[in-house]
Amino acid sequence: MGNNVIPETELIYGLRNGDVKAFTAIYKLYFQRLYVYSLQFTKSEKDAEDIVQEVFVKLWTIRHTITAKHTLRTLLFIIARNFLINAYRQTINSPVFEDYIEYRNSITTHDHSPLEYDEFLNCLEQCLNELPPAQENVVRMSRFQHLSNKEISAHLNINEQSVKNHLSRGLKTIRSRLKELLTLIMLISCH
Amino acid sequence: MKNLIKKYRLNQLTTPELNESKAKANAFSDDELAAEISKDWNEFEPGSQLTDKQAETAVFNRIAAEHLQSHRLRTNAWRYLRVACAIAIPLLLCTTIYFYHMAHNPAPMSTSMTTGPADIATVTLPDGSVIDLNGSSVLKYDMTEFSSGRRDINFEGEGYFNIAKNPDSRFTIHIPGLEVTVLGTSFNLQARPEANQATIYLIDGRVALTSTTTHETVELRPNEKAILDRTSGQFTVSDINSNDNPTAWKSHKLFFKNAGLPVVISQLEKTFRCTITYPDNISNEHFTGLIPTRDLTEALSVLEKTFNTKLTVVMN
Repeated sequence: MGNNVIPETELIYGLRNGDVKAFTAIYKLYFQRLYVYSLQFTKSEKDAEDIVQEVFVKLWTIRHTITAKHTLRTLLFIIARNFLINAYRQTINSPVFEDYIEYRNSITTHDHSPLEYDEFLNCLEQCLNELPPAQENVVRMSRFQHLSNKEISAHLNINEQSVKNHLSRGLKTIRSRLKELLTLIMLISCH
Repeated sequence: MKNLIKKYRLNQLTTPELNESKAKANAFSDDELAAEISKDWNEFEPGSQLTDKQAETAVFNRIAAEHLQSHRLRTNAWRYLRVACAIAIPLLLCTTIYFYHMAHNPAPMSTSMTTGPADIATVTLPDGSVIDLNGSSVLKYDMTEFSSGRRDINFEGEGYFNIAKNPDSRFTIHIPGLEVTVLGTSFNLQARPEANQATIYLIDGRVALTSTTTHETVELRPNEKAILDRTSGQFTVSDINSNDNPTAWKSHKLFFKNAGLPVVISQLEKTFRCTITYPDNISNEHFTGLIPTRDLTEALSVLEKTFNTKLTVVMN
């Protein structure tokens, strides 16, 4: 933007009149803010990009109805809020996120950067693929589809005890495998 | 709650805090939750990371491709419109001049009618003249000239002409080797390009025939026929007699007067675009009479009955 900072009211005025230059200026001013915030909320680059895209497309399509009542910062939040709420509710309720928090808390040494959530998910995916199919199935249902042991037993038509066994064995394997993988990754990222 | 949200963003939650977050978030309505997130949003300051530049460009391109394009097109449309005007206005002037010129010096605009071998068609010309075209005939004329009073047509084949009377405007038929000039009349004209003779049977009115080879002119009276030998350019004029049936074709019939069977067969072959074979023993026979030409089987049965024989047909 340099020193020629265009007053926000002028940008809003330009946007309302369908000025692509004004829209581009707004995008450049607010992309970083919205993208990083969305990234921290969704913990996925792809989801964050999607939110930014949806929000700015919406801003463009509703441009005629925009008034100077809100600042652009507030306006962008109003458009983005439902995406953010959904991402937040989904993530904090995910058992996998719980696992991730555990992992984050287990890191004591600060001489390396911990895995981001999406990297953690990738590792988990790799571990899941290595499990025997029966265990993998049960773990996926428990961790990703949020099903209870009872629901899983009904779904797979096996008794609840078998579900518990599969789950505990699967998770145990995953934890140790994950530890190996994470150590490996830490080693790689250290050197 | 605001602090929990901030910790959530930065992955700084402890397991107990996560559980607290869950409990609160699940108890909060969307609006209540949004209010908390909003506070966090207002305090949030992004650092500047170079890696985000890639995402910035990628996302912008996606938005531009799908949503800003139509808008750009609109602004481009103005530019194109201006260019289009710059081209269109001189073009419009040119065409105006051209059409003005055309109206005063009209270029020849040829109209032509062609009939297939087995077709018979009726053509009405702009002056009201009616021409029945026999098979394999071509009629051409210039619409603008014809309408302006110069009644000239080019013709090949066979036709029955019923020319509208107009003492002020001659009607001329141009045929290779022959010009037929008429005032108002009905006549049958046979001028097959492959035949050496052209024959005109005058039913009514007056016609003048001019050989383009010798420039000899003959006038026909009603009920006279003229045969032009195209090689010599000489006319033979005689009365139409009971043996002539010049307009039989109009009712979808072929007329033959003491014609050798090969001639009859070849005429049928031409009409029906087929090959007809017959036994050798009848090749010297002669035929006089009408053969219906609407239907091949019907036509053949006339000959088969007459000569008590069997004809075979191969469609081409």
